[in-house]
Amino acid sequence: MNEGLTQLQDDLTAVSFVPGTESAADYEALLSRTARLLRVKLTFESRRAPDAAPFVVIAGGTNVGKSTVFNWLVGEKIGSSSPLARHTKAPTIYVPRSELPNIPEGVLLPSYARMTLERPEDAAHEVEGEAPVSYFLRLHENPEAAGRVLIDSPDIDSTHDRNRRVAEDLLFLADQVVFVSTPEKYNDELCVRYLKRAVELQKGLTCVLNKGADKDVEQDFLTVVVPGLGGKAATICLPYEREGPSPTTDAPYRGELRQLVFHPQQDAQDLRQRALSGACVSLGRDLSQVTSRLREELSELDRIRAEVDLVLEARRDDYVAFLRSLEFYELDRVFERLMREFRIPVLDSVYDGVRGALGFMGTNLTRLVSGRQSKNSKQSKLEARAEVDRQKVKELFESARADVTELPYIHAGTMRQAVPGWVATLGGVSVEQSNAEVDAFTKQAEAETERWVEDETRRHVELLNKHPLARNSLRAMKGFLQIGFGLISAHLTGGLGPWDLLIGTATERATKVVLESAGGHLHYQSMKKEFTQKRGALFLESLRATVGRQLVEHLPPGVDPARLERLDHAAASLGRGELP
Amino acid sequence: MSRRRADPTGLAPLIERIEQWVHTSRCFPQLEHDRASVEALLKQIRERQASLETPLRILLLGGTGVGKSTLFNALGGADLAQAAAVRPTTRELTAYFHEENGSASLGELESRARLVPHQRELLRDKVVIDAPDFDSTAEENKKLLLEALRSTDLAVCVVTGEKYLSSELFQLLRDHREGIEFVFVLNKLDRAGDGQAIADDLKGELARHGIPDARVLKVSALAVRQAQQQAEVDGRSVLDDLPLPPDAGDWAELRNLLERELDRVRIREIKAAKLADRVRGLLARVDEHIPEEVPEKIETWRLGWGETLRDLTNDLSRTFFGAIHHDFELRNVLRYLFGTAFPGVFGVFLGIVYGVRSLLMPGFVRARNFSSSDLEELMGERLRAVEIASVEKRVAVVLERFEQEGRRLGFEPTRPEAEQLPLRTSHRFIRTQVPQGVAALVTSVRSEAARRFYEIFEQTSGEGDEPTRRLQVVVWNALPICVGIATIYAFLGSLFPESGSPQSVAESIKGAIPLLEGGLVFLVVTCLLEWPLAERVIERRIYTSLTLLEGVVERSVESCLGEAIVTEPEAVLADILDRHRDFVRLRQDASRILPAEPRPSARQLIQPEPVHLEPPTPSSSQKATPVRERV
Repeated sequence: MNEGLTQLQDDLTAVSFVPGTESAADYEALLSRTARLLRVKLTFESRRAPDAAPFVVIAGGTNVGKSTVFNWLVGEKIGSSSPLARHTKAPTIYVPRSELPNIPEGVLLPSYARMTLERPEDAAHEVEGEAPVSYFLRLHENPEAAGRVLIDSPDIDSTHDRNRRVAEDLLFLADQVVFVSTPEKYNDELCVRYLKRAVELQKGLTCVLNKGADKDVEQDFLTVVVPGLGGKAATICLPYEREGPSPTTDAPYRGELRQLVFHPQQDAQDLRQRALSGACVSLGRDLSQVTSRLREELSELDRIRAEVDLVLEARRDDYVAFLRSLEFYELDRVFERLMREFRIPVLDSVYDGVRGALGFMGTNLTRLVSGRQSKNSKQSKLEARAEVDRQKVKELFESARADVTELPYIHAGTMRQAVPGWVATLGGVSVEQSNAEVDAFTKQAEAETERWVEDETRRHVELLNKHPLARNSLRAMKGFLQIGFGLISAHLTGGLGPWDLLIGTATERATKVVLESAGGHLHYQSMKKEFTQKRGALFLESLRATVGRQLVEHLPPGVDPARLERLDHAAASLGRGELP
Repeated sequence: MSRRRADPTGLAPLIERIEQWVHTSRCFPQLEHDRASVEALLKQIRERQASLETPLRILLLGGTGVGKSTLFNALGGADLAQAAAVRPTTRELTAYFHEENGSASLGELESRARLVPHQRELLRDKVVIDAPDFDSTAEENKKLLLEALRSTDLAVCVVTGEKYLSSELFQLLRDHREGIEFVFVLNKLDRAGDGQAIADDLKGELARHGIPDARVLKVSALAVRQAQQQAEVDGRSVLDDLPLPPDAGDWAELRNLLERELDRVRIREIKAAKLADRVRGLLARVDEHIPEEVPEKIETWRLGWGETLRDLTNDLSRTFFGAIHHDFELRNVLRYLFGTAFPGVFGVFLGIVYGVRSLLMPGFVRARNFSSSDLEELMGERLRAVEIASVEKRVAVVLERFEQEGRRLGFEPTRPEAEQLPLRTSHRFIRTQVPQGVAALVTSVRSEAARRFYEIFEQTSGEGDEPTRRLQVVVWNALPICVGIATIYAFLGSLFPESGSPQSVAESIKGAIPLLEGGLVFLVVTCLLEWPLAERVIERRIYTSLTLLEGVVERSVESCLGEAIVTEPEAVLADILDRHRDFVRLRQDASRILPAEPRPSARQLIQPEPVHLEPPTPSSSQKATPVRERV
């Protein structure tokens, strides 16, 4: 068996359309039809011998007398005819015994159960209820019908979906169609649609007007219906007999009908060839419809996913811009740490001791005097900034969530109807949950900041360690500052003594000079930029994990692009009439 | 009387209420989605209601080639419509009506159909319409038929042995079984092998598709028509006294049904029952679109919204005053103001302490020169840092959350007035008021906070309140005053010694000076003892005043955004509850007004009476049987 076909079959079973859209049912039907055509015709033909006999399907509307015509053709009463509609439920296949090796079980109509018909009368009462779909196989040695496999099809227009599906499968399978109609039905829409489909699939077509059509009807059929088919069809009119064909009158018609249906042998291969290429082309067309829809869905889904990212990135940019407008206290912390790293053995201990004692006294004195825990100004500024930051993060989270929920509505295009299913639970996040999300981010961001400060400190410590001169000058400067101003600085002033500020500023200035001379870099703006971008990336990550994921998880995955590519290839080669 | 005539079924008020409800209910998205068809159903019901008194409309319905026109001609006894073998033959409507009713009684059909008036008294209250097919390739035929079906009361569904299971026919039946009564005629009995078997099969299939106990009549219109033509040639009456041909089947019963069974009373019954059916169908359809457990869901929504609002207010007050809590300068100013506001001797002491402090500590430097207007300015300055845009965005987002929550629960938050707007654009229903609301909020918080600040300051320092003030004077100065009194008492005692040896005044004063000095030292010591206590009180007052300031936000949110975030959502919730309650009431009333058991009572209108279960005339059935055997 052809590998391309197996691959195609796998691909077709694997793909599916996004459920819940306006046209989902239509496309699912198209997909299943495509899969069936592939299975019933192409796969089957690819396993058959090149000289096998063509299939002739006798089809038509309810009660037009398909079985009667079938019986006529085979000259044996097999498909029992009855005035009740949908009498034929399981198709009967009339096969010359020599053809049997060409139609092994499981290859011909693979999803059907095969029942071999020993006595023709058994056909009528073997299928009842919702048994698995099956077909009857009737082997014969009738020399007249030797070159053809005849199939009696169920009706094409009844209320039973199963009959219609079986009829469609048989249409796919056929190489030649004998279409039976009546004066009542010849211009019914369903019948005409069936004929058009048969022509489209390049089946050999023979039309039989049963039940006493007169010249008017035949003329009307030939002038109104046949031209619309865009193909030629051999036509024959049969007389009306209330109780079925009678041996006395049917002889000439029977001869003519057999002449039409059992063409000379050389036509057989041609018929099969044309039917196969018709099936290929039709399958190719259906497949390209399927793939174009799949591609459309995929592109819309991808678009939504991309838009989600865009929205989140826009929020990230907002956040970064906001961070830029805040003070950059982190750099001060780097300086502080840096100063702490370079200890001056004795002086530092003295300084720390004195400062600690002063601080202790100051704190306790203040507490005694004012009744509050003393906080230095930096701490309270940090707290104020953290509060503003938290508010902003919350606002951005919520507005991102609102925007993301709107997105599918804006970009879903042809899949709009399925959108409410995707976003059903997105908006209703409780207050606690959103607060928890914000807190989680804040915690993460703090940890990240701490790491950043440490990294920067370490980097510069290492740098300074490589330059003894710079290190020593830093120590010297520190000692000078500590002696000069440090002892005077005290927490007595509530922490915001001008000396603290002075020490801070002077240290920063001096450290910067020392660092730059050592090849390091502590440029305020560029470090702030780097830091805010880092924080922005963290924010985006957090947004993706919470807001973005909620939607993306609800979106259908769409088709695998590699599969789509393969289907496209298959559609293109089938469209040229070649097997993939 | 005229009222009674206008509303013979008593359904008019109910229909009116349903209509009004449908027009005003915009809060159920599924209903909005299906609005077009619901409105169409309403319109049909209106039309039906208007046509209660008009003749019964009987439509011949069937696929192409089943012999509708032949049947029509046979019913009329003349070649009224064209009948031919070419498919499809009929491409127009033909209306067969009593001339006394006039063509005006046909309503909108008048301009679309070929009109054939007659004078048959028995068909007086009926209009028989021959319609084109629904299954041929001519699309316009189907369109015309569907249009005619909208005003049909009774459809005579013509089928044949070939077409009785046509899927398109069953599709039509499924779509219209709510509003139309169906009678089935199996035509071409002459060509069907076994009419009874087909009729039974058809009945079974109909039962499977929700039309149980259908009435199926077997006729051959062509045979009847041929007999009529023969009679015409012979110069006999073509309608009555027609000798029925052997293939005619139930022809007599069919005529009897159309002419006698469907009398005035029966027609009215059918029309009323079908109208009730339609109303019931409409209500059922609307019911499908309304979510379950509406009150519970609304309660969930309301609770969630209250929570969100509290969160918003918290956030806003943190936005406004979060920074102030940590504002060092403001705190120092407050500390200074509270510190210098103590009364009496102790107040003088604290005044000196804070005066010295303000000279030494930078935080108090600004405070020393402060007036109340400066305080307001400082407050305004701090609050100006709050961005209007950011607050606005926050409020908008919160409203968005309200709407999303509603949508998640299956409601569309719309204002009743917004009905012209299409779905999903109308949902920005409250956004319009947010910007000015937020601007007003920020302004109001600023001015309120600044204005209230001095008030709060006075209130917390106890200055505004006379008894408190007096109490404070007593409490804070009790100790220093006691020390003072003791000193003065001792001083006076030293002036007048008990021993009686009089000293000179100057000498006495001189001797008492160390006493005065000691008293002064004691005074200072008591004040020093009270000082930490006072600091604690000051701190508490700062905290209290800042907390009181936060209350400003809550009040301002209520007064400035109340319309947008409290009243409007409340109105939306109440509206949905109202709509739902109205609907429930409507449904209850409907179940009371409409006949209780829909299917059987309506179906029985066209059920054959027991007599008719047998063939109507023994002769025709006796004739029919041998014919079948012969052929």
